[in-house]
Amino acid sequence: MLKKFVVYCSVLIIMLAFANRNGYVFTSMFTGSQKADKTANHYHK
Amino acid sequence: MTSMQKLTFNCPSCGAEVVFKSSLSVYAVCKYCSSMIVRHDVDVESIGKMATLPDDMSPIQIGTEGSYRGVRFNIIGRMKIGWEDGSWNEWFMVSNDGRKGWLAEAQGFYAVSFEDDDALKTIKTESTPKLGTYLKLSNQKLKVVDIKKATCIGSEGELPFPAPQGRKTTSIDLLGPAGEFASIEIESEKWRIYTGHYVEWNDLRCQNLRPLEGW
Amino acid sequence: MDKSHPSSGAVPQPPEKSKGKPQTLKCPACGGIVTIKAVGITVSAICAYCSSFIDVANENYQIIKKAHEKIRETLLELGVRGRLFGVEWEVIGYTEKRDGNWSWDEYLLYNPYYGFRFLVENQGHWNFIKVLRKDIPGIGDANEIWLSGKKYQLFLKGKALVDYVKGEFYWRVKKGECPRVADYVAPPSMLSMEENDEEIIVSLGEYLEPEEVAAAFKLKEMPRKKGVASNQSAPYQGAFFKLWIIAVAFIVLATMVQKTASKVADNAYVFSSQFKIDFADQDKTISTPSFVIPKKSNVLIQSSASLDNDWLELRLSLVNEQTNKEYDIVQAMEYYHGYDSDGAWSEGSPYTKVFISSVPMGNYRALIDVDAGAFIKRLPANFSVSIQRDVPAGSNYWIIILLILLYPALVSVRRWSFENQRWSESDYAPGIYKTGNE
Repeated sequence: MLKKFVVYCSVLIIMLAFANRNGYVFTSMFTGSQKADKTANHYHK
Repeated sequence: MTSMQKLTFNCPSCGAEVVFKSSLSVYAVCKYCSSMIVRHDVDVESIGKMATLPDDMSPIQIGTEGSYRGVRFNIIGRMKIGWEDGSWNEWFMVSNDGRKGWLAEAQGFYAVSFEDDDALKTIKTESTPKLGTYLKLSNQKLKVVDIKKATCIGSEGELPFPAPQGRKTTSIDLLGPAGEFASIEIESEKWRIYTGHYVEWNDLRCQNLRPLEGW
Repeated sequence: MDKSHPSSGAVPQPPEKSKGKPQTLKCPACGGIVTIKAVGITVSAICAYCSSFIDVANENYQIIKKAHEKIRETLLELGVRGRLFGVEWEVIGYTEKRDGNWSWDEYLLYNPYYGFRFLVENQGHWNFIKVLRKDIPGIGDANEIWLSGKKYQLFLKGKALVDYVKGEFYWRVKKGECPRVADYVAPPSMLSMEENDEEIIVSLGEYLEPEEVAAAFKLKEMPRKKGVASNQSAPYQGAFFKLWIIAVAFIVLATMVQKTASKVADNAYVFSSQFKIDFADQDKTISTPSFVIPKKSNVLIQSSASLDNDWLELRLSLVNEQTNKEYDIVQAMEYYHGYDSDGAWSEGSPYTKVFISSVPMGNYRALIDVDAGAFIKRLPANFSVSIQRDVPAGSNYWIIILLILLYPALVSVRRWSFENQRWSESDYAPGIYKTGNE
């Protein structure tokens, strides 16, 4: 049971390191504060 | 070792061979005719006949070997002691280092003790100790937990003193915080003190046990 | 006196050594056969036929109490054997004890080599108990007892009234005897004492799961557990402390990871400017100059406006010039203030920021559309916008910390709730738990 917790925490650390390295921001990813990946057809207005 | 020096005599009653396996024994019960034999230096005398001991479920018998604190011992005699609320066995044992001791077997508990002359010399009380009080024996303070008026029901094998039926004693048990055990036996005015420890069955590592039906 | 020489005639043989076996006797009250297993030790026996108490301490076999009751059935019957802790035990006695309204069962177990033990069932919880031959000063009065390096906490003081007995016992059991008792717990162990006028008996118990007892005695149905037993182990008993140690270790690790990320981050501005937009130009889209994002990173956009009871909203689009992919965000700012009966008040913030997550490398520009309360008043809008890339995101760190703490926190709550339940049955609960009712 402790082993599972160690694995879980290790995954979290890896996630943190990976996110920091690749510019992921959890709050933006999960709250939809950005409407990402739209392909613009033309400039606005 | 001198204590294990065999002393062989002939039973004054039936003539059978009576062997004292230990020079510490002064009394034996003849295996053949149950005469009680007392040894005086060069000869022996019979002081009567010992009636059959009541049966019990003890796994220990004369000839059983055991261990106490790394030293092997041999059971060579037994006293069955009765009191108002039951009975127990006192097995007489001689250890490989020549000491005479007792393996008390009572209510499923085992306690090994050896005669303690130091405690006898230094004991600071004259009257019978009181229940619940603490007594200083040699280098330890133990609590008086039991005082019984005891009577010998019977004996077998060899013992360090005569143990005929009816031998009356006051038996006082003392207990320590880690299972330390002491026993004061008062026979008429004479005091004997034994000190030792309660032991677990596993730690005794007994061999040559008596067969028990169903176990 | 017979002086015959042993070598002449028949050699007398020493009597045969007898094998130890149970003893049988006739009940003096009803004549039924009574079998004694712990021969030489048992002192009281209850006749299986008429339930009379027989004194078997000596061969007189006196009747202590005559009875004509039928014997009661119990979960473990007399004579059954089971293996616990590596030793085979036989049930030879049973007592039902009671304290007030609540009662429990005690089974006397026997092994001719190892002696006696008690198997006690109380509200579906089981304990395997051994009498101790140790002097424990203060037991029964103290609030805690130390034994073999463990601290035992006082749990209850009470009485144990003997209500019903069957089988055989190595002491003079009396129906109606009522010694005082005290229990001290150090889960899964329990130190108990039972005291009457003559003596004090100290015993040490270990909690057993019903499954262990069922397996040992081959029982099919066990009484269901009710509540929490005084010495029942709490969930995660051993692991609890270690769990927190591991959590702290990983928090330290996470902090190091975050600190490293902060040090290594470029934290560079790719755009920063102030704007004054005339209301006539309100529909025009502002385009920033092109800038480079050299590696995949986050982008932080911060905006502020000078507002006095007004609002301003920016719709910003970060556009990748190569792929035309765009990221749309809204920056809403407002600031209102005034006085009322409670004093000065203010609402809203003229400053806002937002992160865009994992923007791929490439050339970008930002397209900004402005909407403002100022425009309605035909006034210009004043604001500033800055765009940074590869900014250390503290929120990532805090989310991970929270997730690390989540599991130990849940375990702590479960344990606290369990311990509360345990101590709710006791009059001696330590301060942090609620006490039982008197």
